[in-house]
Amino acid sequence: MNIKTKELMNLSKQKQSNILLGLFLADIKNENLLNEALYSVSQQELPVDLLIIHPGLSKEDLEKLQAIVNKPTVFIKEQKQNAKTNEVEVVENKIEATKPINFHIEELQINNFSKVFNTVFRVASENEYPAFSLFEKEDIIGPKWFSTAHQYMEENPDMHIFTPLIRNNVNGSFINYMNESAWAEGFAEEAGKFDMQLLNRFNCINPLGAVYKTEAIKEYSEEKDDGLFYPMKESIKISHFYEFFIRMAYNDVKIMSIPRVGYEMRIFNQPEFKETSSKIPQNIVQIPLEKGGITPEEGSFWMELAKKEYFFEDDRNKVYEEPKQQTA
Amino acid sequence: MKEETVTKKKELTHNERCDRAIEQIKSDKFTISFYCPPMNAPSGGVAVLIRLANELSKKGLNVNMIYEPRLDQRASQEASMKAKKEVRLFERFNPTWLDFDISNLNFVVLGDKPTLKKGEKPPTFSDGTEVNFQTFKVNPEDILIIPEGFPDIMQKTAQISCKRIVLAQSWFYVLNAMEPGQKWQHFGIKDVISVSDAITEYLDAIMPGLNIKRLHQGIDRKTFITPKKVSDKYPMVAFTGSRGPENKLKTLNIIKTFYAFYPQFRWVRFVELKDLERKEFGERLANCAFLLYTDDIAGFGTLPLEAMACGTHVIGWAAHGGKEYMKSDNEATGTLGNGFWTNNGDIFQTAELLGVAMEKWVNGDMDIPEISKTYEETLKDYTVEGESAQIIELINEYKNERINELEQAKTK
Repeated sequence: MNIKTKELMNLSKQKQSNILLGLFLADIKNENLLNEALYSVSQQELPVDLLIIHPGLSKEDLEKLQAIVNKPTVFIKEQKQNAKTNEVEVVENKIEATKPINFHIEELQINNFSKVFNTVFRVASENEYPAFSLFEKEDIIGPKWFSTAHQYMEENPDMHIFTPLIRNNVNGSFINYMNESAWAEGFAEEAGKFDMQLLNRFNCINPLGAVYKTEAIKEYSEEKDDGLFYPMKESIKISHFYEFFIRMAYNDVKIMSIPRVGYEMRIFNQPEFKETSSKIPQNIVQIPLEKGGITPEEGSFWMELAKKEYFFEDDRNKVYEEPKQQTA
Repeated sequence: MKEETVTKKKELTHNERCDRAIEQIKSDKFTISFYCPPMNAPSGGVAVLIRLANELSKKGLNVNMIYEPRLDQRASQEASMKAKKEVRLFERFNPTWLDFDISNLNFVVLGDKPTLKKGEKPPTFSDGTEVNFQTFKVNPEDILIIPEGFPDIMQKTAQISCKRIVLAQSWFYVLNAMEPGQKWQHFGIKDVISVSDAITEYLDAIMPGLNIKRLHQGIDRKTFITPKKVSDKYPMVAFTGSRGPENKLKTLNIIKTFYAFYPQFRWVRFVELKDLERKEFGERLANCAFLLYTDDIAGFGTLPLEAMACGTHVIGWAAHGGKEYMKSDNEATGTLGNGFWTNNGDIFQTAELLGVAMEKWVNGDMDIPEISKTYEETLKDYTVEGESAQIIELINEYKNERINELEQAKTK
């Protein structure tokens, strides 16, 4: 595929897979992480088509990006004994992807994760991809993930969303698994299936790496006057995907947790928070408001809002208002 | 007066009795009696006993399941209170929990027929039916099979004329009911069928000189089936606490230690396999990704093999009984093991290995055909067909041995 900009995303000629994987790139900083992420895409047992969306990278960055996508390269450190000195040395092995990625790069002005999600959904829908998925640039997708998800889709035709177990790494340390709670004793009504009761209890689901059946999502998405469908409500901050999943479950869209690690989420403490990411940094309340941070009150507001708005198919554009300061 | 002709039954000589017994054996006109504890709750050992009897019965041999009925304490107490006098009601042995048809098996209730006083009712089972007590009668051509845990039966039957064979399904219970220094040979037992190499070794060590034959048990592949769908395997760990409260406490300790070692797996469920019909037992086991096996005194241990048949990975104690089939990964040869086996009784090691195994499973590293192949390789020695053929073969061997014994017993 070639670099295309500002054209209608007709991927029918390039389409090679039944799954469209979306990636939003605000920049191409941390090339190593990006290489690792794209390497994991290239190594999929079941290849997927990759859609990269960027908000307007420079020509230089675009060329760099294309070079990386064409041949993602990772460096793996290995301990080896030096034959002469007998000392153990750390050797870095360069490994290049052996399988090509079928990709498409598109420029779009997008400023939040809901829009990223909705765009990937729309491209999947327009180009008749039965399923789509999303990932973020620091992350790694397990090499068997899409083939496992495909197998589960085949075996469970009545299910609509398939979430992987996510290895949650914060600042390089493994913290926990995510999307696992549907399997825990006494949590979900049916083991492995996210239901309303569970989702209402707490935000226990993550949108990354999940495989969404396009048609099922479309059915419960708002169709606006522009003729487009909006599965995720774009006015909601940080809890957009939480509201989306509760609404889907409320509308009987079946969500299944596949008990296999399919995704490694890597979160780093950031000096700023970009809303195009679904990853809420642990230090979000410490980040200055002008750099995307939010107050604990606002965080609670959005989380509570998710639990109230799922009844409505339409985005009611609720906004957070700072509490008024009491005056003497 | 009319002359009365009296025909007197001719007494057989010793040699004639031997010849008659040999003829009866050769023409399969002998009876095999299985002494069976009347357990109405599911029991693996009793199931094996009845299954073997059933197999022989299906082959056209005369088979009796003999048992001494237990008093139904509760029903007796209730009936006594109602009748205002002592009423004894017995429990009928009715193993409805078995997963095979036993309608062709003959169950014999052992006991002396009571002499009833006028107006006295015959003894009954708690279901109201009459207990037909029968005395145990055998001929030299017959065979009596006694489970290993009943030395009292071995002792009581020491003087009877038939061949007696002990069916040893456990090493642990062999000496439990025996006096120090006692051996089965003291009760005239010579022949033993052992269900594992471990039992054979144990018996050879403590009672050398027994004629021990080996029987490989079969795993029922109609009950224990690998689910066709990968998605029918859940991140669940099956366990049983069937070896008593202390064993169950240890098992629960493993689970708690596992959660403490690996808090990231707090969502993994543990499912106790208890009070289940056989079919349901198989289905539940098949739904679990793992079996936590903590039977430290198993005579053989069919549960890990049943798990393998279900494609359920086993983490557990390498108990003495199962060592003939338990194989760990061999890094030197690159061969895969058929389970995660730990030192028998090692709680910490088991909890640790459970975490290692779970990590591998969620990473998809265990979704490889080589593992299933290893399980099938293990299971090929333990088939229902093989077990059925073996018990027939063993009975044929005993028949020949008995014929030789009877020939030698004849006076020259």
